[in-house]
Amino acid sequence: MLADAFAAERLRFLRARGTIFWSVLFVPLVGVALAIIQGLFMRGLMNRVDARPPTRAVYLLNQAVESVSSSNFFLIQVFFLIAAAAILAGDYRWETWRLLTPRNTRANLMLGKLATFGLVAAAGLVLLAVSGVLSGLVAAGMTGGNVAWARDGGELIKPLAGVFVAAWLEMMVLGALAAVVAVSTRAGLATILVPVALWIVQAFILGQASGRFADPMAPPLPWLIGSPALAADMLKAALQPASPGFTPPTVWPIALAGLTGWIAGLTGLAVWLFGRQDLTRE
Amino acid sequence: MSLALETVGVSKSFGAVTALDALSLSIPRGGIFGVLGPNGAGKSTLFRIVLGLVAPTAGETRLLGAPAGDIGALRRIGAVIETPRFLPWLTGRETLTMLALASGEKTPEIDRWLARVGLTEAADRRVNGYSVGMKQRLALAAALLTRPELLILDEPTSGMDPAGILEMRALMRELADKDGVTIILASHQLDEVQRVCDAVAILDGGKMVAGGRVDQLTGVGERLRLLATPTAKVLEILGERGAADGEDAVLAAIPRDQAPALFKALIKAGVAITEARWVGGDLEKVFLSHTGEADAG
Repeated sequence: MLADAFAAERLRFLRARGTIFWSVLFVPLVGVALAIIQGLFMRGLMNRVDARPPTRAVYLLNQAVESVSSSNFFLIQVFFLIAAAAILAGDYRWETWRLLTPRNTRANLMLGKLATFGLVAAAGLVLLAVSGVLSGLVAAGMTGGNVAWARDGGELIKPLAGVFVAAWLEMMVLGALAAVVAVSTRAGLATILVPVALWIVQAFILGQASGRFADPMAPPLPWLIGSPALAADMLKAALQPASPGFTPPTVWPIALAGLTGWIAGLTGLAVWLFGRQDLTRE
Repeated sequence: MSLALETVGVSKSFGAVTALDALSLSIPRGGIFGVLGPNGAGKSTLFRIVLGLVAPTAGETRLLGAPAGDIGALRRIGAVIETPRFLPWLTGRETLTMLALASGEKTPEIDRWLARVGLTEAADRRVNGYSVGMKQRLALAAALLTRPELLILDEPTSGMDPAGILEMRALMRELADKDGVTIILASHQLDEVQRVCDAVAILDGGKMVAGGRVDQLTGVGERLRLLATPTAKVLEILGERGAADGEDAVLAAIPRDQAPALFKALIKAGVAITEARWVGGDLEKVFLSHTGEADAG
Protein backbone atom coordinates (compact mmCIF):
# COMPACT_ATOMS: atom_id res chain seq x y z
CA MET A 1 0.00 0.00 0.00
CA LEU A 2 1.01 3.57 -0.61
CA ALA A 3 0.63 4.42 3.08
CA ASP A 4 3.25 1.75 3.93
CA ALA A 5 5.74 3.09 1.41
CA PHE A 6 5.11 6.65 2.66
CA ALA A 7 5.64 5.59 6.29
CA ALA A 8 8.93 3.87 5.41
CA GLU A 9 10.19 6.91 3.49
CA ARG A 10 9.23 9.27 6.29
CA LEU A 11 11.12 7.19 8.82
CA ARG A 12 14.32 7.09 6.83
CA PHE A 13 14.18 10.81 6.03
CA LEU A 14 13.53 11.79 9.64
CA ARG A 15 16.69 9.88 10.65
CA ALA A 16 18.84 11.66 8.05
CA ARG A 17 19.80 14.62 10.23
CA GLY A 18 22.37 16.05 7.83
CA THR A 19 19.88 16.12 4.97
CA ILE A 20 17.22 17.70 7.18
CA PHE A 21 19.64 20.44 8.24
CA TRP A 22 20.74 21.36 4.74
CA SER A 23 17.38 21.01 3.02
CA VAL A 24 14.94 22.68 5.43
CA LEU A 25 16.83 24.31 8.32
CA PHE A 26 19.83 25.97 6.73
CA VAL A 27 18.06 28.66 4.68
CA PRO A 28 15.71 29.83 7.48
CA LEU A 29 18.63 29.92 9.93
CA VAL A 30 20.69 31.97 7.48
CA GLY A 31 17.70 34.29 7.03
CA VAL A 32 17.48 34.96 10.76
CA ALA A 33 21.26 35.24 11.07
CA LEU A 34 21.37 37.81 8.27
CA ALA A 35 18.62 39.82 9.98
CA ILE A 36 20.64 39.85 13.21
CA ILE A 37 23.83 40.85 11.39
CA GLN A 38 21.99 43.57 9.51
CA GLY A 39 20.46 44.89 12.73
CA LEU A 40 23.79 44.89 14.54
CA PHE A 41 25.45 46.63 11.64
CA MET A 42 22.77 49.31 11.57
CA ARG A 43 23.08 49.89 15.31
CA GLY A 44 26.85 50.06 15.10
CA LEU A 45 26.64 52.52 12.24
CA MET A 46 24.13 54.72 14.01
CA ASN A 47 26.13 54.71 17.24
CA ARG A 48 29.19 55.79 15.31
CA VAL A 49 27.44 58.83 13.81
CA ASP A 50 25.57 59.38 17.07
CA ALA A 51 22.13 59.10 15.47
CA ARG A 52 19.06 57.08 16.16
CA PRO A 53 18.48 54.20 13.78
CA PRO A 54 15.46 54.81 11.52
CA THR A 55 12.45 53.18 13.08
CA ARG A 56 10.71 50.83 10.74
CA ALA A 57 7.35 49.24 11.36
CA VAL A 58 7.41 45.49 10.91
CA TYR A 59 4.37 43.62 9.60
CA LEU A 60 4.83 40.01 10.55
CA LEU A 61 2.42 38.41 8.09
CA ASN A 62 3.83 40.43 5.22
CA GLN A 63 7.29 39.32 6.28
CA ALA A 64 6.12 35.70 6.21
CA VAL A 65 4.53 36.10 2.76
CA GLU A 66 7.73 37.63 1.36
CA SER A 67 9.81 34.91 2.89
CA VAL A 68 7.67 32.09 1.45
CA SER A 69 7.60 33.85 -1.92
CA SER A 70 11.38 33.77 -2.01
CA SER A 71 11.27 29.99 -2.36
CA ASN A 72 11.26 30.40 -6.15
CA PHE A 73 14.78 31.87 -5.99
CA PHE A 74 17.12 29.31 -7.53
CA LEU A 75 19.58 29.28 -4.63
CA ILE A 76 16.79 28.41 -2.21
CA GLN A 77 15.48 25.76 -4.63
CA VAL A 78 18.91 24.11 -4.55
CA PHE A 79 18.53 23.48 -0.81
CA PHE A 80 15.04 22.03 -1.21
CA LEU A 81 16.37 19.81 -3.98
CA ILE A 82 18.99 18.40 -1.62
CA ALA A 83 16.06 16.70 0.07
CA ALA A 84 14.69 15.61 -3.31
CA ALA A 85 18.03 14.07 -4.23
CA ALA A 86 18.32 12.24 -0.91
CA ILE A 87 14.80 10.88 -1.16
CA LEU A 88 14.54 10.17 -4.87
CA ALA A 89 18.09 9.25 -5.85
CA GLY A 90 19.32 7.82 -2.53
CA ASP A 91 18.43 4.23 -3.37
CA TYR A 92 20.51 4.41 -6.53
CA ARG A 93 23.46 5.83 -4.59
CA TRP A 94 23.30 3.33 -1.75
CA GLU A 95 22.14 0.43 -3.98
CA THR A 96 19.20 -0.20 -1.70
CA TRP A 97 16.41 -0.60 -4.25
CA ARG A 98 17.02 -4.34 -3.93
CA LEU A 99 15.77 -4.15 -0.35
CA LEU A 100 12.62 -2.22 -1.20
CA THR A 101 11.25 -3.36 -4.55
CA PRO A 102 10.28 -6.86 -3.36
CA ARG A 103 8.28 -5.28 -0.50
CA ASN A 104 5.91 -2.94 -2.29
CA THR A 105 4.89 -2.02 -5.83
CA ARG A 106 7.21 0.27 -7.70
CA ALA A 107 4.41 2.79 -8.20
CA ASN A 108 3.78 2.93 -4.45
CA LEU A 109 7.48 3.26 -3.68
CA MET A 110 7.88 6.19 -6.07
CA LEU A 111 4.66 7.88 -4.93
CA GLY A 112 5.71 7.36 -1.30
CA LYS A 113 8.95 9.18 -2.07
CA LEU A 114 7.15 12.09 -3.72
CA ALA A 115 4.69 12.30 -0.83
CA THR A 116 7.64 12.49 1.54
CA PHE A 117 9.18 15.25 -0.54
CA GLY A 118 5.83 17.02 -0.41
CA LEU A 119 5.93 16.85 3.37
CA VAL A 120 9.50 18.11 3.47
CA ALA A 121 8.67 20.96 1.06
CA ALA A 122 5.72 21.98 3.23
CA ALA A 123 7.88 21.90 6.36
CA GLY A 124 10.57 23.91 4.62
CA LEU A 125 8.08 26.57 3.53
CA VAL A 126 6.64 26.80 7.05
CA LEU A 127 10.15 27.29 8.40
CA LEU A 128 10.80 29.97 5.77
CA ALA A 129 7.65 31.75 6.97
CA VAL A 130 8.77 31.43 10.58
CA SER A 131 12.19 32.73 9.63
CA GLY A 132 10.53 35.75 7.97
CA VAL A 133 8.57 36.48 11.14
CA LEU A 134 11.65 36.07 13.36
CA SER A 135 13.71 38.28 11.09
CA GLY A 136 11.02 40.94 11.35
CA LEU A 137 11.00 40.72 15.12
CA VAL A 138 14.78 40.95 15.25
CA ALA A 139 14.73 44.02 13.02
CA ALA A 140 12.01 45.63 15.11
CA GLY A 141 13.84 44.83 18.33
CA MET A 142 17.07 46.36 17.12
CA THR A 143 15.61 49.48 15.56
CA GLY A 144 12.79 50.02 18.02
CA GLY A 145 10.18 49.79 15.26
CA ASN A 146 6.54 48.95 15.82
CA VAL A 147 5.33 45.43 15.26
CA ALA A 148 1.96 44.71 13.67
CA TRP A 149 0.40 41.65 12.09
CA ALA A 150 -0.35 43.09 8.65
CA ARG A 151 0.10 46.29 6.70
CA ASP A 152 -2.99 48.50 6.58
CA GLY A 153 -4.79 46.00 8.77
CA GLY A 154 -5.36 43.88 5.67
CA GLU A 155 -6.59 40.36 5.61
CA LEU A 156 -4.01 38.09 7.19
CA ILE A 157 -4.57 34.49 6.40
CA LYS A 158 -5.74 34.39 2.79
CA PRO A 159 -2.61 35.93 1.22
CA LEU A 160 -0.31 33.82 3.34
CA ALA A 161 -2.22 30.62 2.65
CA GLY A 162 -2.37 31.46 -1.04
CA VAL A 163 1.33 32.12 -1.31
CA PHE A 164 2.05 29.00 0.67
CA VAL A 165 -0.11 26.79 -1.59
CA ALA A 166 1.31 28.33 -4.77
CA ALA A 167 4.90 27.99 -3.52
CA TRP A 168 4.25 24.41 -2.44
CA LEU A 169 2.75 23.49 -5.81
CA GLU A 170 5.70 25.04 -7.60
CA MET A 171 8.06 23.10 -5.33
CA MET A 172 6.13 19.91 -6.10
CA VAL A 173 6.57 20.50 -9.83
CA LEU A 174 10.30 20.75 -9.11
CA GLY A 175 10.09 17.57 -7.00
CA ALA A 176 8.26 15.62 -9.70
CA LEU A 177 10.79 16.85 -12.25
CA ALA A 178 13.55 15.77 -9.87
CA ALA A 179 11.93 12.31 -9.72
CA VAL A 180 12.07 11.99 -13.51
CA VAL A 181 15.70 13.10 -13.50
CA ALA A 182 16.60 10.78 -10.61
CA VAL A 183 15.13 7.74 -12.36
CA SER A 184 16.64 8.69 -15.71
CA THR A 185 20.14 9.50 -14.50
CA ARG A 186 20.33 7.51 -11.22
CA ALA A 187 22.50 10.38 -9.93
CA GLY A 188 21.93 12.66 -6.95
CA LEU A 189 23.87 15.62 -8.34
CA ALA A 190 21.86 15.62 -11.56
CA THR A 191 18.67 15.43 -9.48
CA ILE A 192 19.64 18.77 -7.92
CA LEU A 193 21.20 20.57 -10.84
CA VAL A 194 18.96 19.68 -13.79
CA PRO A 195 15.67 21.00 -12.31
CA VAL A 196 17.37 24.18 -11.08
CA ALA A 197 18.99 24.70 -14.49
CA LEU A 198 15.64 24.23 -16.20
CA TRP A 199 14.05 26.74 -13.80
CA ILE A 200 16.75 29.31 -14.57
CA VAL A 201 16.24 28.79 -18.31
CA GLN A 202 12.49 29.11 -17.78
CA ALA A 203 12.95 32.38 -15.86
CA PHE A 204 15.18 33.73 -18.60
CA ILE A 205 12.68 32.89 -21.35
CA LEU A 206 9.82 34.31 -19.28
CA GLY A 207 11.79 37.50 -18.69
CA GLN A 208 12.25 37.89 -22.44
CA ALA A 209 8.65 37.08 -23.31
CA SER A 210 6.67 38.74 -20.53
CA GLY A 211 7.44 42.23 -21.82
CA ARG A 212 5.39 41.40 -24.85
CA PHE A 213 2.33 40.30 -22.88
CA ALA A 214 -0.51 42.81 -23.39
CA ASP A 215 -1.53 42.44 -19.73
CA PRO A 216 1.10 41.01 -17.37
CA MET A 217 -1.72 39.80 -15.08
CA ALA A 218 -3.41 37.91 -17.91
CA PRO A 219 -0.68 36.11 -19.84
CA PRO A 220 -1.56 34.08 -22.95
CA LEU A 221 -2.92 30.61 -22.21
CA PRO A 222 -0.01 28.60 -23.71
CA TRP A 223 2.44 30.51 -21.54
CA LEU A 224 0.33 30.05 -18.45
CA ILE A 225 0.05 26.32 -18.95
CA GLY A 226 3.53 25.81 -20.34
CA SER A 227 5.40 27.62 -17.58
CA PRO A 228 4.95 26.35 -14.02
CA ALA A 229 6.88 29.35 -12.66
CA LEU A 230 4.50 31.78 -14.36
CA ALA A 231 1.47 29.80 -13.21
CA ALA A 232 2.79 29.88 -9.64
CA ASP A 233 3.36 33.66 -9.87
CA MET A 234 -0.20 34.19 -11.12
CA LEU A 235 -1.57 32.04 -8.33
CA LYS A 236 0.38 33.99 -5.70
CA ALA A 237 -0.72 37.30 -7.18
CA ALA A 238 -4.36 36.23 -7.39
CA LEU A 239 -4.53 35.83 -3.63
CA GLN A 240 -2.98 39.17 -2.79
CA PRO A 241 -5.42 41.86 -1.69
CA ALA A 242 -6.36 44.39 -4.36
CA SER A 243 -4.75 47.79 -3.94
CA PRO A 244 -4.54 50.99 -5.97
CA GLY A 245 -2.69 50.11 -9.16
CA PHE A 246 -2.94 46.37 -8.59
CA THR A 247 -5.78 44.16 -9.73
CA PRO A 248 -5.32 40.49 -8.84
CA PRO A 249 -5.27 38.23 -11.91
CA THR A 250 -8.41 36.31 -12.69
CA VAL A 251 -6.63 33.49 -14.51
CA TRP A 252 -5.82 31.63 -11.32
CA PRO A 253 -8.00 28.56 -12.08
CA ILE A 254 -6.01 27.98 -15.26
CA ALA A 255 -2.78 28.55 -13.34
CA LEU A 256 -3.86 26.07 -10.70
CA ALA A 257 -4.86 23.52 -13.34
CA GLY A 258 -1.55 24.08 -15.11
CA LEU A 259 0.49 23.47 -11.96
CA THR A 260 -1.45 20.35 -10.94
CA GLY A 261 -1.21 19.11 -14.53
CA TRP A 262 2.57 19.47 -14.44
CA ILE A 263 2.77 17.63 -11.13
CA ALA A 264 0.51 14.81 -12.34
CA GLY A 265 2.26 14.51 -15.71
CA LEU A 266 5.79 14.47 -14.33
CA THR A 267 4.82 12.11 -11.50
CA GLY A 268 3.19 9.77 -13.98
CA LEU A 269 6.30 9.87 -16.17
CA ALA A 270 8.57 9.12 -13.19
CA VAL A 271 6.38 6.18 -12.11
CA TRP A 272 6.19 4.86 -15.68
CA LEU A 273 9.96 5.08 -16.20
CA PHE A 274 10.70 3.50 -12.83
CA GLY A 275 8.24 0.69 -13.46
CA ARG A 276 10.13 -0.31 -16.58
CA GLN A 277 13.63 0.21 -15.28
CA ASP A 278 16.08 -2.67 -14.95
CA LEU A 279 17.74 -2.44 -11.56
CA THR A 280 20.81 -4.44 -12.53
CA ARG A 281 23.01 -2.23 -10.46
CA GLU A 282 21.22 0.56 -8.71
CA MET B 1 4.66 -31.26 -7.62
CA SER B 2 4.44 -27.83 -6.01
CA LEU B 3 7.22 -25.58 -7.20
CA ALA B 4 8.93 -22.74 -5.37
CA LEU B 5 10.44 -21.38 -8.55
CA GLU B 6 9.99 -22.25 -12.19
CA THR B 7 11.64 -20.63 -15.17
CA VAL B 8 10.73 -21.61 -18.72
CA GLY B 9 13.07 -20.47 -21.48
CA VAL B 10 14.14 -17.36 -19.60
CA SER B 11 16.66 -15.22 -21.42
CA LYS B 12 18.22 -11.91 -20.55
CA SER B 13 20.62 -9.89 -22.64
CA PHE B 14 22.44 -6.71 -21.73
CA GLY B 15 23.38 -5.32 -25.12
CA ALA B 16 25.57 -7.92 -26.76
CA VAL B 17 26.06 -9.85 -23.53
CA THR B 18 23.73 -12.77 -22.89
CA ALA B 19 23.39 -13.29 -19.16
CA LEU B 20 20.72 -15.99 -19.34
CA ASP B 21 20.14 -18.15 -22.38
CA ALA B 22 16.72 -19.84 -22.46
CA LEU B 23 17.11 -21.11 -18.92
CA SER B 24 14.52 -23.63 -17.80
CA LEU B 25 14.71 -24.58 -14.16
CA SER B 26 12.28 -26.06 -11.66
CA ILE B 27 12.94 -25.82 -7.95
CA PRO B 28 10.53 -27.78 -5.76
CA ARG B 29 9.23 -26.52 -2.46
CA GLY B 30 11.01 -27.76 0.64
CA GLY B 31 14.67 -28.24 1.46
CA ILE B 32 17.73 -26.29 0.40
CA PHE B 33 18.51 -25.92 -3.28
CA GLY B 34 21.92 -24.74 -4.46
CA VAL B 35 22.51 -22.67 -7.57
CA LEU B 36 26.13 -22.90 -8.64
CA GLY B 37 28.10 -21.41 -11.46
CA PRO B 38 31.26 -19.54 -12.28
CA ASN B 39 31.28 -15.74 -12.26
CA GLY B 40 29.07 -14.50 -15.07
CA ALA B 41 27.08 -17.74 -15.21
CA GLY B 42 23.84 -15.83 -14.69
CA LYS B 43 23.06 -16.56 -11.03
CA SER B 44 22.64 -12.94 -9.96
CA THR B 45 20.64 -12.10 -13.08
CA LEU B 46 18.36 -15.05 -12.35
CA PHE B 47 17.80 -13.81 -8.80
CA ARG B 48 17.20 -10.25 -9.96
CA ILE B 49 14.60 -11.50 -12.43
CA VAL B 50 12.93 -13.56 -9.73
CA LEU B 51 12.82 -10.52 -7.43
CA GLY B 52 11.39 -8.28 -10.15
CA LEU B 53 14.46 -6.05 -10.24
CA VAL B 54 15.15 -6.94 -13.85
CA ALA B 55 12.73 -7.90 -16.61
CA PRO B 56 13.65 -10.92 -18.73
CA THR B 57 14.16 -10.47 -22.47
CA ALA B 58 12.15 -13.65 -23.09
CA GLY B 59 10.60 -16.54 -21.23
CA GLU B 60 8.37 -17.00 -18.24
CA THR B 61 9.13 -17.08 -14.53
CA ARG B 62 6.76 -18.29 -11.85
CA LEU B 63 7.42 -17.70 -8.18
CA LEU B 64 5.39 -19.72 -5.66
CA GLY B 65 2.91 -20.31 -8.48
CA ALA B 66 2.52 -16.62 -9.37
CA PRO B 67 4.10 -14.71 -12.26
CA ALA B 68 7.43 -13.05 -11.44
CA GLY B 69 6.99 -9.51 -10.19
CA ASP B 70 3.67 -10.32 -8.51
CA ILE B 71 3.91 -8.31 -5.30
CA GLY B 72 1.79 -10.84 -3.40
CA ALA B 73 4.29 -13.59 -4.20
CA LEU B 74 7.28 -11.32 -3.60
CA ARG B 75 6.05 -10.59 -0.09
CA ARG B 76 6.18 -14.32 0.61
CA ILE B 77 9.87 -14.49 -0.13
CA GLY B 78 12.97 -13.06 1.52
CA ALA B 79 16.21 -12.43 -0.27
CA VAL B 80 19.81 -11.52 0.28
CA ILE B 81 21.40 -10.88 -3.07
CA GLU B 82 24.99 -9.92 -3.76
CA THR B 83 26.73 -7.69 -1.21
CA PRO B 84 24.19 -6.44 1.32
CA ARG B 85 23.63 -2.70 1.09
CA PHE B 86 21.94 -0.49 3.66
CA LEU B 87 21.32 3.18 4.34
CA PRO B 88 24.41 4.02 6.43
CA TRP B 89 22.76 6.52 8.78
CA LEU B 90 20.15 4.08 10.06
CA THR B 91 20.77 1.68 12.92
CA GLY B 92 20.16 -2.03 12.47
CA ARG B 93 16.86 -1.76 14.31
CA GLU B 94 15.76 1.28 12.29
CA THR B 95 16.67 -0.51 9.07
CA LEU B 96 14.43 -3.43 9.95
CA THR B 97 11.65 -1.09 11.12
CA MET B 98 11.82 0.82 7.84
CA LEU B 99 11.72 -2.37 5.77
CA ALA B 100 8.86 -3.77 7.83
CA LEU B 101 6.92 -0.54 7.26
CA ALA B 102 7.56 -0.72 3.51
CA SER B 103 6.23 -4.29 3.50
CA GLY B 104 3.12 -3.35 5.44
CA GLU B 105 4.20 -5.88 8.07
CA LYS B 106 2.14 -5.12 11.15
CA THR B 107 3.90 -7.42 13.62
CA PRO B 108 7.48 -7.62 12.42
CA GLU B 109 9.03 -9.13 15.61
CA ILE B 110 12.20 -7.15 15.02
CA ASP B 111 13.82 -8.08 18.32
CA ARG B 112 13.25 -11.76 17.65
CA TRP B 113 14.95 -11.66 14.26
CA LEU B 114 17.80 -9.52 15.58
CA ALA B 115 18.37 -12.11 18.28
CA ARG B 116 18.12 -14.98 15.85
CA VAL B 117 20.93 -13.59 13.69
CA GLY B 118 22.99 -12.54 16.72
CA LEU B 119 22.69 -8.77 16.36
CA THR B 120 20.86 -7.85 19.56
CA GLU B 121 23.80 -5.97 21.06
CA ALA B 122 24.57 -4.10 17.83
CA ALA B 123 20.92 -3.34 17.07
CA ASP B 124 21.12 0.34 17.99
CA ARG B 125 24.42 1.03 16.29
CA ARG B 126 24.54 2.68 12.90
CA VAL B 127 24.92 0.25 10.02
CA ASN B 128 27.96 2.06 8.60
CA GLY B 129 29.89 0.76 11.62
CA TYR B 130 28.96 -2.86 10.90
CA SER B 131 31.46 -5.39 9.58
CA VAL B 132 30.68 -7.27 6.36
CA GLY B 133 29.63 -10.29 8.39
CA MET B 134 27.27 -8.18 10.52
CA LYS B 135 25.74 -6.71 7.38
CA GLN B 136 25.19 -10.24 6.12
CA ARG B 137 23.38 -11.07 9.35
CA LEU B 138 21.28 -7.91 9.13
CA ALA B 139 20.41 -8.73 5.53
CA LEU B 140 19.27 -12.17 6.63
CA ALA B 141 17.14 -10.66 9.40
CA ALA B 142 15.63 -8.30 6.82
CA ALA B 143 14.88 -11.25 4.57
CA LEU B 144 13.21 -13.11 7.43
CA LEU B 145 11.06 -10.18 8.61
CA THR B 146 8.00 -11.21 6.65
CA ARG B 147 8.29 -14.89 7.67
CA PRO B 148 8.95 -15.97 4.08
CA GLU B 149 8.04 -19.29 2.50
CA LEU B 150 11.01 -18.99 0.17
CA LEU B 151 14.42 -17.58 1.02
CA ILE B 152 16.93 -16.65 -1.66
CA LEU B 153 20.47 -16.33 -0.33
CA ASP B 154 23.33 -15.22 -2.54
CA GLU B 155 26.67 -15.85 -0.82
CA PRO B 156 25.19 -15.54 2.66
CA THR B 157 28.42 -16.47 4.47
CA SER B 158 30.86 -14.23 2.64
CA GLY B 159 32.73 -12.03 5.10
CA MET B 160 31.73 -14.18 8.07
CA ASP B 161 34.14 -15.72 10.54
CA PRO B 162 34.18 -19.53 10.92
CA ALA B 163 31.82 -19.42 13.92
CA GLY B 164 29.43 -17.24 11.96
CA ILE B 165 29.53 -19.63 9.01
CA LEU B 166 28.65 -22.54 11.28
CA GLU B 167 25.80 -20.54 12.84
CA MET B 168 24.50 -19.55 9.42
CA ARG B 169 24.66 -23.15 8.23
CA ALA B 170 22.75 -24.34 11.27
CA LEU B 171 20.19 -21.56 10.86
CA MET B 172 19.60 -22.48 7.22
CA ARG B 173 19.07 -26.11 8.14
CA GLU B 174 16.76 -25.14 10.97
CA LEU B 175 14.69 -22.86 8.74
CA ALA B 176 14.39 -25.55 6.12
CA ASP B 177 13.73 -28.48 8.44
CA LYS B 178 11.69 -26.92 11.26
CA ASP B 179 10.04 -23.87 9.69
CA GLY B 180 9.50 -25.46 6.29
CA VAL B 181 11.18 -22.60 4.46
CA THR B 182 12.46 -23.40 0.98
CA ILE B 183 15.95 -21.99 0.55
CA ILE B 184 17.70 -21.26 -2.72
CA LEU B 185 21.38 -20.80 -2.02
CA ALA B 186 24.11 -19.52 -4.29
CA SER B 187 27.60 -19.92 -2.96
CA HIS B 188 31.14 -20.14 -4.23
CA GLN B 189 32.01 -22.44 -1.36
CA LEU B 190 31.23 -25.80 -2.86
CA ASP B 191 31.98 -27.77 0.28
CA GLU B 192 29.40 -25.63 2.08
CA VAL B 193 26.85 -26.29 -0.66
CA GLN B 194 27.58 -30.00 -0.49
CA ARG B 195 27.03 -29.96 3.27
CA VAL B 196 23.75 -28.08 3.38
CA CYS B 197 22.02 -28.47 0.02
CA ASP B 198 19.68 -31.26 -0.92
CA ALA B 199 19.84 -30.57 -4.64
CA VAL B 200 21.73 -28.22 -6.94
CA ALA B 201 21.66 -26.73 -10.41
CA ILE B 202 24.91 -25.78 -12.10
CA LEU B 203 24.75 -22.83 -14.47
CA ASP B 204 27.32 -21.89 -17.05
CA GLY B 205 27.01 -19.32 -19.79
CA GLY B 206 23.44 -18.59 -18.77
CA LYS B 207 22.34 -22.21 -19.19
CA MET B 208 21.84 -25.07 -16.81
CA VAL B 209 24.58 -27.60 -17.50
CA ALA B 210 23.82 -30.07 -14.70
CA GLY B 211 21.34 -30.52 -11.93
CA GLY B 212 19.88 -32.99 -9.50
CA ARG B 213 20.19 -34.30 -5.99
CA VAL B 214 23.63 -33.71 -4.47
CA ASP B 215 24.13 -37.37 -3.55
CA GLN B 216 23.24 -38.45 -7.07
CA LEU B 217 25.49 -35.88 -8.69
CA THR B 218 28.45 -36.62 -6.46
CA GLY B 219 27.87 -40.34 -6.82
CA VAL B 220 29.01 -40.06 -10.44
CA GLY B 221 32.77 -40.61 -10.50
CA GLU B 222 32.85 -41.94 -6.97
CA ARG B 223 35.12 -45.00 -6.54
CA LEU B 224 35.89 -47.51 -3.80
CA ARG B 225 39.54 -47.50 -2.79
CA LEU B 226 40.65 -50.86 -1.41
CA LEU B 227 43.83 -51.71 0.43
CA ALA B 228 43.79 -55.45 -0.10
CA THR B 229 46.23 -58.28 -0.86
CA PRO B 230 46.90 -59.80 -3.18
CA THR B 231 46.06 -56.87 -5.45
CA ALA B 232 46.35 -59.04 -8.54
CA LYS B 233 43.46 -61.15 -7.28
CA VAL B 234 41.38 -58.02 -6.62
CA LEU B 235 42.05 -56.68 -10.11
CA GLU B 236 41.14 -60.09 -11.58
CA ILE B 237 37.77 -60.10 -9.80
CA LEU B 238 36.99 -56.48 -10.72
CA GLY B 239 37.97 -56.88 -14.35
CA GLU B 240 37.42 -53.64 -16.33
CA ARG B 241 35.98 -51.96 -13.26
CA GLY B 242 39.29 -52.11 -11.37
CA ALA B 243 42.48 -50.09 -11.63
CA ALA B 244 45.69 -50.21 -9.61
CA ASP B 245 46.32 -47.17 -7.42
CA GLY B 246 49.95 -47.44 -6.42
CA GLU B 247 51.49 -50.70 -5.18
CA ASP B 248 48.95 -51.82 -2.60
CA ALA B 249 45.67 -50.15 -3.53
CA VAL B 250 42.97 -50.75 -6.09
CA LEU B 251 40.28 -48.35 -7.24
CA ALA B 252 36.95 -50.03 -7.91
CA ALA B 253 34.47 -48.19 -10.15
CA ILE B 254 31.28 -49.68 -8.74
CA PRO B 255 28.03 -48.24 -7.41
CA ARG B 256 27.61 -48.19 -3.65
CA ASP B 257 24.89 -50.83 -3.66
CA GLN B 258 27.27 -53.37 -5.24
CA ALA B 259 29.90 -52.95 -2.52
CA PRO B 260 28.56 -55.73 -0.19
CA ALA B 261 28.59 -58.26 -3.05
CA LEU B 262 32.13 -57.26 -3.95
CA PHE B 263 33.33 -57.70 -0.35
CA LYS B 264 31.78 -61.18 -0.23
CA ALA B 265 33.45 -62.16 -3.51
CA LEU B 266 36.82 -60.87 -2.36
CA ILE B 267 36.67 -62.66 0.99
CA LYS B 268 35.53 -65.87 -0.72
CA ALA B 269 38.56 -65.59 -3.00
CA GLY B 270 40.89 -65.28 0.00
CA VAL B 271 41.68 -61.58 -0.35
CA ALA B 272 42.68 -59.83 2.86
CA ILE B 273 41.03 -56.41 3.04
CA THR B 274 42.72 -53.92 5.38
CA GLU B 275 40.90 -50.75 4.33
CA ALA B 276 37.99 -49.70 2.13
CA ARG B 277 36.75 -46.14 1.60
CA TRP B 278 34.90 -44.09 -0.97
CA VAL B 279 36.99 -41.47 -2.76
CA GLY B 280 36.37 -38.77 -5.33
CA GLY B 281 32.88 -37.68 -6.24
CA ASP B 282 32.93 -34.35 -4.42
CA LEU B 283 30.84 -31.48 -5.71
CA GLU B 284 33.90 -29.49 -6.72
CA LYS B 285 34.93 -32.17 -9.21
CA VAL B 286 31.38 -32.36 -10.54
CA PHE B 287 31.32 -28.58 -10.86
CA LEU B 288 34.66 -28.43 -12.64
CA SER B 289 33.75 -31.24 -14.99
CA HIS B 290 30.66 -29.33 -16.13
CA THR B 291 32.03 -25.83 -16.26
CA GLY B 292 35.68 -26.43 -17.07
CA GLU B 293 36.48 -23.71 -14.54
CA ALA B 294 39.55 -23.83 -12.37
CA ASP B 295 37.93 -21.07 -10.35
CA ALA B 296 34.85 -22.50 -8.79
CA GLY B 297 33.22 -19.08 -8.60
